[in-house]
Amino acid sequence: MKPSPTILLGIVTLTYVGVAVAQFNLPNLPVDPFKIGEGAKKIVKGSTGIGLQEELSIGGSVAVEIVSTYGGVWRDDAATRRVNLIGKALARYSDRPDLPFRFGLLNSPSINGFSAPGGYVFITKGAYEAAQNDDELAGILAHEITHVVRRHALRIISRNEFISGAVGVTAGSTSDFRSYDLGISDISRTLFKTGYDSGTEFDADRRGRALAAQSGFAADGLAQFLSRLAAVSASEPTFSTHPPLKDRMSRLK
Amino acid sequence: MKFKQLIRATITILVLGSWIGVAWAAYEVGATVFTKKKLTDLLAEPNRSSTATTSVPWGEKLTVRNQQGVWLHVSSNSGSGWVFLGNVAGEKPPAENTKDFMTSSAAETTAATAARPLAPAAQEFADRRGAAEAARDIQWLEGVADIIGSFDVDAYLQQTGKGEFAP
Repeated sequence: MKPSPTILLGIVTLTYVGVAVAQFNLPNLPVDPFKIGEGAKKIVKGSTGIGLQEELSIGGSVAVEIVSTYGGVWRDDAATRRVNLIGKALARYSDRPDLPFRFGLLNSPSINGFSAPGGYVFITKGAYEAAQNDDELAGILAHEITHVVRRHALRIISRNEFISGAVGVTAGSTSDFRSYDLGISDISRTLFKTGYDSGTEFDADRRGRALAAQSGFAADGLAQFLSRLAAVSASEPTFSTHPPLKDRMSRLK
Repeated sequence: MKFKQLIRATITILVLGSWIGVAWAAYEVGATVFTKKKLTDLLAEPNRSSTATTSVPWGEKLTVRNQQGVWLHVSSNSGSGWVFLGNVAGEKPPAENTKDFMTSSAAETTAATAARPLAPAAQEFADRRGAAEAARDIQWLEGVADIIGSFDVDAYLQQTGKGEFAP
């Protein structure tokens, strides 16, 4: 027996109304990984101790590590322009609209994305070529923009008290680079090996999804991209520094 | 036959409409939102080309009076007007975001003045790491990225009907 159009209509409408409501109730998010748990206040306070100039220094240094590790920058003018138009459109409506973002492509066939403090966002050539449209690219970029906006990388070093070293190196008032370089190393290790904890990644997924939708891109761009990747046996590593694809997809639904 | 076509058309319209609904945040009348840019214009009409009635600073508390699609009619101590919902936040952004204003005046003017080279400390880090090629790559990227200014982003949004240019 075929379901009646009226029932279908009701189901479709209720489903999407539900999704819309769930998606934009961000102020009432039940879990904020940075406001719960022991020592959370210390982490948040630490993050505020890093000024813009220090953030730009740290971000530029981390960007050097990202580019060095992932085959250099893919110097394609048209592709770079495209990701910058999409990325800057998203960044305009983020919670840090006054921070100048830069979006680059890494010369690597693997599928991954990275961001560094100060507005540096990179995706690999593999990810760029695997994305089928602007909505999917926007989904990937919005996730990385959220890492920058929420200062996820800076929280790693603020936890480990590297701030004073960063302040001194940025101001040019010290030649002792040891603590600064250790801080950059800590962030790089997280980005390339251990990855952020799953709560941080899901936070970026959820808020990135809302940012993409609010900016006019499809809300499910990232989910579409991840589900297609999950359906094929990838010959290249796929978001190897992020949580398993199926876990991310189930939370994006 | 005509009835079936009518049902099919109705479903199509509602499905499309519900998808559009997914892309818009729905705010209740009386809800509170906050500005997140250094200065946010409140407009006389709910469209991008309308004139500004007033400009409000970062972190201003606004009360939602009405919503038309992606536009909110809001009021504040500084006056009232229309604002694109992507230019406000449902929760007040952290005060440390105001540090970004140091770069915003350049970013809002011309691409040439918005250019910001790799920070000296980052360049020195690249030298210590023997990563001169990576530093050059980033300088190249900054050159390409910084050429794309607000006007280019406006044109992209307008062409694709996104953001505050949504139909």
